[in-house]
Amino acid sequence: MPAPVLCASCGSRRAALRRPKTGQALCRECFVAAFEAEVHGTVTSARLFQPGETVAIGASGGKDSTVLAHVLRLLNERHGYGLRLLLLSVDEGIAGYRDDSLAAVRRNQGRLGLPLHVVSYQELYGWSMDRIVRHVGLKNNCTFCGVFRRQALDRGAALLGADKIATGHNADDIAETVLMNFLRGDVGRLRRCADILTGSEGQLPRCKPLKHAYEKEIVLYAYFQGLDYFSTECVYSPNAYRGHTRALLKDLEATRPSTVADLVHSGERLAVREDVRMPTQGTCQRCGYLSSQPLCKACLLLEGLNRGLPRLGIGKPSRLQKALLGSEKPETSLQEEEGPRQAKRGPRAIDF
Amino acid sequence: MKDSIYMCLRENERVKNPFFVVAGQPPPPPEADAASRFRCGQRRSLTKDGGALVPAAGVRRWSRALVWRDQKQRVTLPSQEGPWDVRKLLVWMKENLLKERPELFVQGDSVRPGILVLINGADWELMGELDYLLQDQDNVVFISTLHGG
Repeated sequence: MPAPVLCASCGSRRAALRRPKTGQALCRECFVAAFEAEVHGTVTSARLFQPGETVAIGASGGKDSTVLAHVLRLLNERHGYGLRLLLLSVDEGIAGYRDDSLAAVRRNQGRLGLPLHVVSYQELYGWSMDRIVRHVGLKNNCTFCGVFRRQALDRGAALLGADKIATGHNADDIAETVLMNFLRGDVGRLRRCADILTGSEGQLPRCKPLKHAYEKEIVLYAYFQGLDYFSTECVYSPNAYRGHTRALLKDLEATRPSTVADLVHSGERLAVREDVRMPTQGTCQRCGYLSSQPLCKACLLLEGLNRGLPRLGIGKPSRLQKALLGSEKPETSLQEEEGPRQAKRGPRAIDF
Repeated sequence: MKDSIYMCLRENERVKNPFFVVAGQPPPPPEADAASRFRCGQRRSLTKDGGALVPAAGVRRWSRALVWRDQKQRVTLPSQEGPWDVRKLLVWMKENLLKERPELFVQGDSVRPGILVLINGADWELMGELDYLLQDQDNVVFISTLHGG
């Protein structure tokens, strides 16, 4: 049995882990201190927050958002960011998953002492994810969840009067997203997915303070600090496309731990060629939300659900889709604009 | 702790090979060696001199439900030739503890990438990973990172 490795930082206590980012062996206390210092460094160097701002923390009850809420509250007090923090949760209506994770959020809320607000798909859209999956099937339902969740977070944060939204995306998430967008040819997203602060006119800015934190470190931080989180995969996730990139990333990380940070690094420095046509940002004609199409994705998906056409808005517009949209009686103005515009445009980037 | 299995291993100190029994399973057939005899339902710790068996205080039965449901399990492993290392432990776990979908936990020789293993509170990378030899009363924790946050 090898002799216990000592911490590289304090040299006195036994090392508890080897940081994947630096390869250093650190003891529990030094690791916790290093982790918190790094998040603080990320926040200050990117100038994520201004004093007096209200920040809504997207809290799902999972490991990332639990750690985010804990660390942000800690750093807010320790370094005096001057922020007003709130917890914002989204209830997608997935039985056996979301209801349990919301219970974890409520427990954290009690422990952290932060106000909590929950928005649900049922209230906002009239459709819960379980009902959507029954109509859409097991493939592509994550599109609905993701699109609706983004809007739900924005709506919820606006309701609470927040100035920013903070989400718990970690380095592994961003690396997977970069790979995923690359594999799917989604150039628009590829360009901005690794930004730490996103959002533009008419939209609440979102930041990812844990952007440079490895998932493994987040889990170990939560373990060492005894944080309470909910840890089961969404029942629908095995069919998600992200699963493939995640498996690839995990295998790569096992051989070369810096892969994750390197992918994030690449993502931050990607530039698109000038002759590439990028989608222009406009607003949705129905709800006024930010959109590059005449109808924002959420409205389009909702329209499809309500009309019993769940495949509407999924994948490239097929001839059948165009025909359906064109052949439907122009009851509302949106269809007239949709039909001819879709026919004019060539192949679009996949908009998942 | 959420999402982890604690496995505390108890060693028969007189016998070189650890002798273990899982609480709740049928008792092993009686063996000639008195020091290595256990009875089902009663966890007995052997005294250091290997003399009379002394019953352990209290009997606890842990649920043997699906692996990732906050399961804490005190297990003892059957005796075998050669020492127990983590590699053999994983094989044993796959055969004895995993009720379904073993591929979610083990992959090849090792755990699925994305599952962390802590031995006595330290990352197994610092202890030699699969080659680490298990000791008496070792605490092995498996933590999954493969879920949404």
